Amino acid sequence: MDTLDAMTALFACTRAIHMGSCLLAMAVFFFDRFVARPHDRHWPGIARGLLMFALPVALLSGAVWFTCVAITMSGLPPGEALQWENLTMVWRETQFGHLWEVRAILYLGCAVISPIAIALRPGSTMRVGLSWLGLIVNASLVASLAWAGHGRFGESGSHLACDALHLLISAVWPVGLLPYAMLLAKFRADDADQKWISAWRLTRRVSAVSLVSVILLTATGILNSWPLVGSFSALFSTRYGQVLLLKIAIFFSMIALGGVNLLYLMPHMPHGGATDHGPLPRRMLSWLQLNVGAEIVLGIAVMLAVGLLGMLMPAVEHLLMHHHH
Amino acid sequence: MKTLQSPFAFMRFTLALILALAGIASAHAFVDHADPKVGAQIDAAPADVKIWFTQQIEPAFSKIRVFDAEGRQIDNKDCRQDKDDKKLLIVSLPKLPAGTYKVEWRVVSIDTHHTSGDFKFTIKP
Repeated sequence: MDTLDAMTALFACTRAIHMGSCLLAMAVFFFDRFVARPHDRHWPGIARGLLMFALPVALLSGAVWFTCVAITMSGLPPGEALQWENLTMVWRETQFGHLWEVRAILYLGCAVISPIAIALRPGSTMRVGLSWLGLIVNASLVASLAWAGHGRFGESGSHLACDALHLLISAVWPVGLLPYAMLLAKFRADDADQKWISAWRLTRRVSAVSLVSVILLTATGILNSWPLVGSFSALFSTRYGQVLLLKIAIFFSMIALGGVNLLYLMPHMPHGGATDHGPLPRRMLSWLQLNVGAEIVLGIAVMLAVGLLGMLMPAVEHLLMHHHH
Repeated sequence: MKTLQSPFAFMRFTLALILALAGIASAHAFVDHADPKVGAQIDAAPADVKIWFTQQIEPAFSKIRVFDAEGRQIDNKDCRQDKDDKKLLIVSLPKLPAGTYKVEWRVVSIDTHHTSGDFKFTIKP
């Protein structure tokens, strides 16, 4: 499949939306365990809102993904491919169907545990326990996506593990930037004297996990991509390579924005006292919000590129096929 | 052992190491080899057509069909995956007379991508 027809575009968008929503649900629990603090009074509301958005979208897009696979697997026109007989054949008789069965169970776990965990009183033992459970189940749902794409390929366990790790890390950064941006906006709107220091502390925690994530994403990204590309020339001469290059370019733009946040904006934010309300911190915070917003938009573009990459024939196979012809 | 004298050399070494560890593999299923071989001219009629693919395949959506020179499907329509080798697809044939036969295949690999193709073989008179 190497042409961008309507079906490919729909499928690529569906994959991107499903991956994005699963990653977002996991990001909420990662944020809950490692970044947000129990006394952040805005956090439970934000977490609830994000989960109420992410979980239904994950369910719907997962169903559309399954339908798209049923059409492409059968090779039949959509009207015939969507017959009950064909759908059950995909569900019962293919490895993709078995994977979706497992993922449906995991999703059910997420849908039950996630809202309860977030609704409990912050800091309570039950809340902490369920939040950890929520993180584990949502992370499993994310990691299982590795079996649905090119992660399967080569029958190499290490490639699969690397792909799963890449997905899990991307829930921390860049997807975790969304809860961060929302919490930052809430802090800014606060009247409390502590808002600057709260914003600074939050930013410091996010920067620490983002830095580690970027390093790990780069390493796992290279390990994942190389077997599918095979040569530097294939990066330019095949559609797969070109989309991958675009993804890499966007990724580095996001790192550049993150670098500005870390090296310039953070040191200029007031963090020593609680009463600095001058124009500088406000400007710095506006700039920071703008940068994070831009990173999120670029992150969505990366997600679309990833959705498309899963549909395209890997560069190494494209070249192999043309070599045979 | 030669030392890595500059950061640039170290980076090149690291990149080369990562790329070597990563290896190269494939995602779509292509024909690895077949029996009868692609384009083969054989003396005795084969009992079946076997195709080994480069990837594991989904038997529910994978098939081989064999046609004679007039375009009639002449295989026994019992295409199946081998029990032990998940990359091998087999279809049995009736006793075939001399002639040229076309083998058409369409398979779906376990990562859901589909591929298709065809080849011919000839049974000598």
